[in-house]
Amino acid sequence: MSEGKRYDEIQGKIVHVYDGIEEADNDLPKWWLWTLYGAIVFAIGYWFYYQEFRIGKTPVEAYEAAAAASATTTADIDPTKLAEAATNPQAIAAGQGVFATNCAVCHGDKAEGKIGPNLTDDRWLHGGSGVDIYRTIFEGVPSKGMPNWGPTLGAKSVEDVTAYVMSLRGTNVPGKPPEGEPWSGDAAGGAPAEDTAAGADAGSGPSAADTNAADTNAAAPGPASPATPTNAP
Amino acid sequence: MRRPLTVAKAPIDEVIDADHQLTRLVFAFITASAVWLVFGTLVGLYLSLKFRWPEIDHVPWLTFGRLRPIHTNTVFWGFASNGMIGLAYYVVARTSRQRLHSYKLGWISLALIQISVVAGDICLAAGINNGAQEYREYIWPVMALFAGALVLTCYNFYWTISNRTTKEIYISNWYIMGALLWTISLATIAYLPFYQYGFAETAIQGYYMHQGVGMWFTPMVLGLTYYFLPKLLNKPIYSYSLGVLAFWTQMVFYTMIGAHHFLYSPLPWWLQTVAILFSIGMLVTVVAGTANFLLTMKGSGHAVRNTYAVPFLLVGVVYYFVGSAQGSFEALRSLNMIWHFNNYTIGHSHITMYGFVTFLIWGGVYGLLPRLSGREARQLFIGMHFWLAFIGVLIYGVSLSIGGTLQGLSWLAGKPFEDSVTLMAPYWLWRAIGGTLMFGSHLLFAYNVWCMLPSKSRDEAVETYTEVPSAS
Repeated sequence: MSEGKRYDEIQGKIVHVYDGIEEADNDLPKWWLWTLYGAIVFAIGYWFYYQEFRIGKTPVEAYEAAAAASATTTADIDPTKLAEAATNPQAIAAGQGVFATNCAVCHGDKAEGKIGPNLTDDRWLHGGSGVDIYRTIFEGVPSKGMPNWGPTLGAKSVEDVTAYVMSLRGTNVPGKPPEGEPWSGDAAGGAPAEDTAAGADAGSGPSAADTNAADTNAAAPGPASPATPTNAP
Repeated sequence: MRRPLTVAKAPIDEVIDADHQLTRLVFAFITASAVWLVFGTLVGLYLSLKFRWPEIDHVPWLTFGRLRPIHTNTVFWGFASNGMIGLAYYVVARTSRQRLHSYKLGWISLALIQISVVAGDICLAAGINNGAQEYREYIWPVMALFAGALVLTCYNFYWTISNRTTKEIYISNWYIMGALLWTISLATIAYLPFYQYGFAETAIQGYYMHQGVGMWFTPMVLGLTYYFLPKLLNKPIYSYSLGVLAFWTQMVFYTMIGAHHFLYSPLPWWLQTVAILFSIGMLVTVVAGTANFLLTMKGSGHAVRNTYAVPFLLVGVVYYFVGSAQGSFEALRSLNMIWHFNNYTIGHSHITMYGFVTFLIWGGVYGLLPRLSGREARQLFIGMHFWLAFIGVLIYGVSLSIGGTLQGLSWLAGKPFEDSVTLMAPYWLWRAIGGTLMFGSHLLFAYNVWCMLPSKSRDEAVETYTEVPSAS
């Protein structure tokens, strides 16, 4: 090996030679130094953001915030409010719009049933009271392919859709054959009144447990919900 | 003569006067490497078809859970490791101006690696594995053989470098020795059982999985590039300091970043934050390394056009920057939330392991082998290899990056899982198309290696070669 003291036109003074490979020793490019300074500044900033000042949420904090948010939306289902909405043309019209965009794909344009069940007959898989319908839409039935629309649509839209679906009950649009348990809220006379009673029963029972564990829906699909209609009469 | 896709390349300008024993050893490693590449990526291609046609077979040995680790482990330990170690045997001896310390140990290392990959793959196919621990699916007796090969290689290189006749140690050898020492420690840490249960196992897994990439493949292949790039360009390296900085920052920063694979997990929050800081720190290393290579290549457009090895190196260097920068940003919490645990990560791992590591290995193989044996492969086939692999990995990376992003956004929106599966269908088809091109290029690579193997006696080859006029 010859100690290279050659001067290369492009790279400047040669400091090493190995197996014919020459090595110059140019200064670090200025712009390169900025990546170094940038990384240092970022590191300090990021550390203070997450570790010192706690501005960034930890997963536990984020989870608790999300849980708190979802608790206020499912626990406070007000049967009276739903019953009122079911007779309010504005809410029904809004719900119909939401239904056409999100639900019609599976339940059919006229709610006559496609992949999902027919919503216009008097049989219900997960309960036919307003509260049951609201909860089925909000929390979904993952094991049967019904998504939890709550996080996507928000409480207001779910309420509108519930109003629309409640208005469809018993209209018997020809389509998919009826499935599930008969729901006799109407038969008992006056849907709104019956709704309130059934909803109150359901609301006081399983709702507290349900809201705390949305996941349990997947493991044990709605044992509580189908039970409700049978209790209704 | 011009060809449609490949400009006519200059023939190699010299045949290196390396000793026959070393040449044979290097060729044995590269041949093994080519065979494993074809096998490993055949498995990978089959897996990519399964995404499109999940019902394709019902044989337990061909299930996704068994074939996937066979694909990853084969290309890691079979293809890439054989290829890198083979080239390193040449580079270490050559830059130390010293005969290899022991050829016998070299051959034993070669045998150990092949035995471990064969045994490991058979075990995986039969369902015998180390649990769901990415890249350490081989059971410990199998991995011990591989580690043994690394220990013998390390010992062999150490004494070769120690007995060098040059004054300093060339930077390639820093990288190669660094990679070997780190990987031996790493395999030991990853396989010792007594502190691995519950969550500690996951912490070790994050440490191992990422260092497997960043402390084995990256430094090995960068070390080789520090030899082949200036050698093939016949130009001085831009800066000694930049190389040293890139080396030491790699060694320091990389050790801390494994936990970024488990953000938002029960791993300590501060550990996750540290991993993120050092992941961003890696940008410093990557920019330094890339800058040194590119500033060395500056003004070498003719070399890119007129040789077939340099384009591979150029693609490898560019993908080194792209893939590593992508990795740094994936570590940020806000982006990790979208990109982690979906197909984006698969795209990233192929951009790095394929676009970066594999292309640099190929550059080294095409740069070195003809000069050792005096036999060149057909230019058309090398050109086709380059373009098929290049376009293939481009399709692969782009389709999975877009698809993975959409998948992550779909999950974040709380949409049902089925939605994300349906939306991925076209991207998985494109991935299979890219994969098919890549696999086709590997068949050509294997054939090209076959063409470059030394003829009966190397001296004969040298004689026939000297008749070709040199074009410098």
